[in-house]
Amino acid sequence: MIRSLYTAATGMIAQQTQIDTTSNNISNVNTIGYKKQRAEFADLMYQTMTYAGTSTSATTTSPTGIEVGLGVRPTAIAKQFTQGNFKETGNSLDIAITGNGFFQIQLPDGTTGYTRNGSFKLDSEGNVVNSDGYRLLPELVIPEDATQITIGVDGMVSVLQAGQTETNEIGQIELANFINPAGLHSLGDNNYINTSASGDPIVSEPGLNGLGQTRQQFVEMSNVQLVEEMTDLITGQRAYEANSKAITTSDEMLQTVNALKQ
Amino acid sequence: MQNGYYDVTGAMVTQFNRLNVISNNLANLNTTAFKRDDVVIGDFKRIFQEYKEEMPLSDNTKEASKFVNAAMSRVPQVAEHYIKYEQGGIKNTGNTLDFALKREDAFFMVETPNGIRLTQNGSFTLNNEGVLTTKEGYPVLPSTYFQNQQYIVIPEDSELRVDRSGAVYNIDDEIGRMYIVQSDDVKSLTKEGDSLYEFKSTDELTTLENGDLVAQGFLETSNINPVSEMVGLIETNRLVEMYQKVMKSHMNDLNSDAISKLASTKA
Repeated sequence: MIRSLYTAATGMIAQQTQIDTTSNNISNVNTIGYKKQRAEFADLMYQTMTYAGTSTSATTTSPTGIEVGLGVRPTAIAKQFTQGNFKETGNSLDIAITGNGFFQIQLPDGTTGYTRNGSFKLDSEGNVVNSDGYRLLPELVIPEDATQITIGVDGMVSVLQAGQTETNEIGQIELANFINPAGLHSLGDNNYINTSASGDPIVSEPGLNGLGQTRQQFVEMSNVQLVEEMTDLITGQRAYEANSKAITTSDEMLQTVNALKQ
Repeated sequence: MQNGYYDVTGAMVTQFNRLNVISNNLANLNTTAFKRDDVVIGDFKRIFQEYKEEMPLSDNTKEASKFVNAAMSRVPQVAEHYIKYEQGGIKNTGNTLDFALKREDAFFMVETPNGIRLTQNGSFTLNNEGVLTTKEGYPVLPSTYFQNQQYIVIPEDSELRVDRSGAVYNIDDEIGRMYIVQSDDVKSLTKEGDSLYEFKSTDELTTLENGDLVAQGFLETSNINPVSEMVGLIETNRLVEMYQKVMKSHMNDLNSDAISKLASTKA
């Protein structure tokens, strides 16, 4: 059958992937710590009718050859780790990372998860946990009588306890960085885990070894730009329509072929 | 009659069979966890070649030719019928009794009056005794079923929680695990209706216990891609038209001419 029927079908399926990615980004436009995804495509493969450079006569060669393309395929849906905007919240346990790095949290099965979402809370025992109750690593316990919590740009946590005039340093927040953060596996719930593609975590204090600093009382909003996503929606939809036109045209051409014989 | 006529007849029948499969796929576009069926169309000579080896007579002999109509050369037939187990989309329903399997090779086990079956449709409910069942009332089996024949029972006024690996909790107490298995021979699974799959024997099933298996509050949608089914429909339609033209040429042109011009009884 006509190749264009199947080629255009790959085009439509690829645009579906594009729209899926764009709608995920749009739905997470207000998610703290969300990093937008970008769908990337490559041409599928080519059928070679004539190889370029084969000889056409004793003295001449074909300059270009004939290669028929067969469509498109998605090659990657890559997370873009650009910095999101900061929002000042005034909460003493809200932390934003200015630069590279991830917070480390303890997942329920014992492994370490990584996240950019710095909106932490206290549980009933004073442990610093995230919204799902997973503890921040290295573990941090805020004393019961703490009246004020200060987190420095280097991650040093100090509290002012009742009846004292000077603050005590009670812990140090450490961040993890990866050679290839786009290779992290998204678990959902704003959490990532490392894979063989991302490399091992490089843990150190904020501000050192290329890690960003920690800013208290700020949260990092998602880095989704609605204008970009809307444009992607429009181009995705029009590309979908254009591919469907290619399919209906192939169909009409087949109809013409069938009508040759009365 | 000419063999060509029967070749395209066979081809047209094959396309109608394929149309049945495509229509069934499209009808189940919204069925939870429906997996796409597809056919592989092979030509008769290839299938005939597979059976030829079993014949007791040697090739190219007069005896063999009595059994073989080599002129019945290339009628297309449905060579294989397979199920594509790719994951469909996952939709968030918020219902605590809805479960989506996150791996395409994982299945829940349920007990039906006809025996143990597999399913990927996780929209479960509770019956009047608190047993976790499918919507048709088949109990969902826990991983200890073959040891103690008990079902998963949720006490009244409790909050059912299932974690990612299939362990079932009543608020915080673990009361069991869902029996989630993987088949070593997916090709031997057949669809039985009611979203159930029949399997050959439990020896082929491997229990899955750890990892990211189940999501509570989500349902898996069907994995039908309407674009692919539409392209299949267009192809089927145009092929049937072409075969019809060939058949008409045979009958209305060639044979009709032969009859009217050669076999005419006019003097």
